[in-house]
Amino acid sequence: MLARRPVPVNEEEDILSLRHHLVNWLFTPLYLLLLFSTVTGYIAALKLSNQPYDLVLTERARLIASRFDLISEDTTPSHDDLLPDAAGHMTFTLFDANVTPLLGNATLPRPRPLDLSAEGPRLRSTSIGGEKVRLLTLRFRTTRRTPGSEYVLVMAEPVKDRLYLGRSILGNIVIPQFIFILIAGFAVWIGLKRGFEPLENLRRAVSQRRGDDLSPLDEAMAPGEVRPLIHEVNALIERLKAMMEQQKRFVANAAHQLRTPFAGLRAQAELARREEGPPAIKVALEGICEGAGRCSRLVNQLLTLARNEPEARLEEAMTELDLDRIAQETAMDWVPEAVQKDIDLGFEGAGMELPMRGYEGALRDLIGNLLDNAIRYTPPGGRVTLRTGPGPWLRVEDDGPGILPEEREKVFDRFYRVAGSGQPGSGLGLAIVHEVAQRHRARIVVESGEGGRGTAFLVRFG
Amino acid sequence: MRILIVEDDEVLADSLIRAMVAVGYATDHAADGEQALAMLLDGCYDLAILDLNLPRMDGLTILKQVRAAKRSLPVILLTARDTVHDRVLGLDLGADDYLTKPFSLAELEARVRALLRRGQGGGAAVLACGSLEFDSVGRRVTLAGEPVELSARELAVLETLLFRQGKVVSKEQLIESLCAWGDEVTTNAIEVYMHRLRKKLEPGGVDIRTVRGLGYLLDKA
Repeated sequence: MLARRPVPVNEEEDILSLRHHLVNWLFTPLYLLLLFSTVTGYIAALKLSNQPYDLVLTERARLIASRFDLISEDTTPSHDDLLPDAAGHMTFTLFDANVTPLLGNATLPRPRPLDLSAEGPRLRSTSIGGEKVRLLTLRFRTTRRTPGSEYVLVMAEPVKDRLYLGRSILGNIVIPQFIFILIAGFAVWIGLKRGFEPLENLRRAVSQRRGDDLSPLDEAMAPGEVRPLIHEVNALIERLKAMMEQQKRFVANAAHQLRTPFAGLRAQAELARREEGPPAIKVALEGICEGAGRCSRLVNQLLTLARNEPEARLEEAMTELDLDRIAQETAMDWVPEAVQKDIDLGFEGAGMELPMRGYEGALRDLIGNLLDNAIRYTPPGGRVTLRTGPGPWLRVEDDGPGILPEEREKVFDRFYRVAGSGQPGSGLGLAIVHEVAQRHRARIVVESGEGGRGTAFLVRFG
Repeated sequence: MRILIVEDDEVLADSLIRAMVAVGYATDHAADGEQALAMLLDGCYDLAILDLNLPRMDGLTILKQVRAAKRSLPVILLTARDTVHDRVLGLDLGADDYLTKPFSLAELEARVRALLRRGQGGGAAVLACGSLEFDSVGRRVTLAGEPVELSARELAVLETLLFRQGKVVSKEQLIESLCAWGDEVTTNAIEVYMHRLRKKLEPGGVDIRTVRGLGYLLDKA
């Protein structure tokens, strides 16, 4: 069975959503705060910028009132006398006690009764003729000109200048604030990236795992907050491992237990076949013999497979061995089988020692199963050749029907059978080959044989 | 010839007993380990077929005790375990052969035959393959009853092939068997002997197959 690709994890959605959460919860309040402080800053700026202007406006008004008082009663003052240094944009209208306009450089609306109700200057914002202005109303009494008479001075000043001041104050507040927030955002982003790195590494370590790798995750890799989770996952892996081992032991024991009854069945059938009897019974006994033989083979293959699975690897120790010799000896074992099927089985060795470290029994299983497979699927009269070479590598080639390229990966799956072959194989032979190759970190290539005919299995060690 | 079969599975034991009786051996049966050990130490058996997994005492213990008691009868182990380790352990403890269940009856019979022959000091007098017969005592070869003239080296080669009938004999093994004659033999020489032997045996329907890169194999055509 070939290692299956891990199911691709949708990183953005699944793994990083925690980061999204954090970003949302950090940045949304941050930006709301910025908005709030901008608005309050603007209001404060406007208020602040009003104060000096209002002061000046009030001073002017008082000045106008005192100048007016100084001018004798029989002279009608010009507005230039009252507001000499054309503070150009300021306009005023002087009303008498009956709220009749007396003089001024503009006709401003009559004061509202509300504005007259209090002593001293009253200031408010309004708009006149579409222009926003600051309007001042001042009630005063003359002391020299006509002692005791009351007048009302209304002054207006466009707010343009004030707005300009307000905005520049605002700018001085908001722009640094915005920059601060950008810096804060960048810092948060970097911090999150750094903070999530261990998690990301952990994810990568898990997703790159082989399906049969049940070693615990490295707790040291995880940040403190995730460590309890990793700890629990490791505990789960432990439990899984124990369960799988139990399962495997059960299968192996069951297979062992099956061997004795199969041996009995097979021997009894062989004995019966030797007896004289009706032809129909002979045929049936042939079938029983063949079936018993196949069952035996299946049980043997199951056990060989179980023996070569990753968890069972402790049984045999790796030794220094000569692949060429092992290949030759295994090929010899399979000659009778080949002769029986009229297949020309040959060995083309490297002609020298091919030293490597490996599990001898397992390598014999690998070579034997490749030869068995080739002999089984090559029609009588065909050729099967086992070659070895330095590296080392070995190659089993036949001139049988071949395997379609799209089926080449699948032949290593357990119980996979090439369609239409009609061969009574166990379906485990090549799975054993695959397991043994994995055990030796060898690579298997399935290709066409010489001249595009047949099949060749190339196993490269080291 | 007296054989003891130690096997606790009734069906398998029954078939083994019947097979051995059919070949003409006197056969006894033990179904548990202690009984088997007692019988082996008391009785006078020529060979034992011993299952490893037995009630009351396992096969390896029996084997150890039998060998400790200096009984040298040939022992064939039957086992449901087939790792290299088990095999080596069994042979180290003094077993003569080893069969993994399930085995073919013919295979067991052949091994029993071979061990009994060895126990009698020397192989069977006559080795045969199809119509070819080789009298190993008189060192004479007949093909369908007719004597065949062979040189001493051809005879040595044929003998080696006959001893390993149905199995591949490598050129190295053949050279070794000829080295007893005291002189250097090249692989080319082997090919010459094979060529001559083939010619002489062909009329009797006996074939020496060349197995590419491995050696030769004697077979009925």
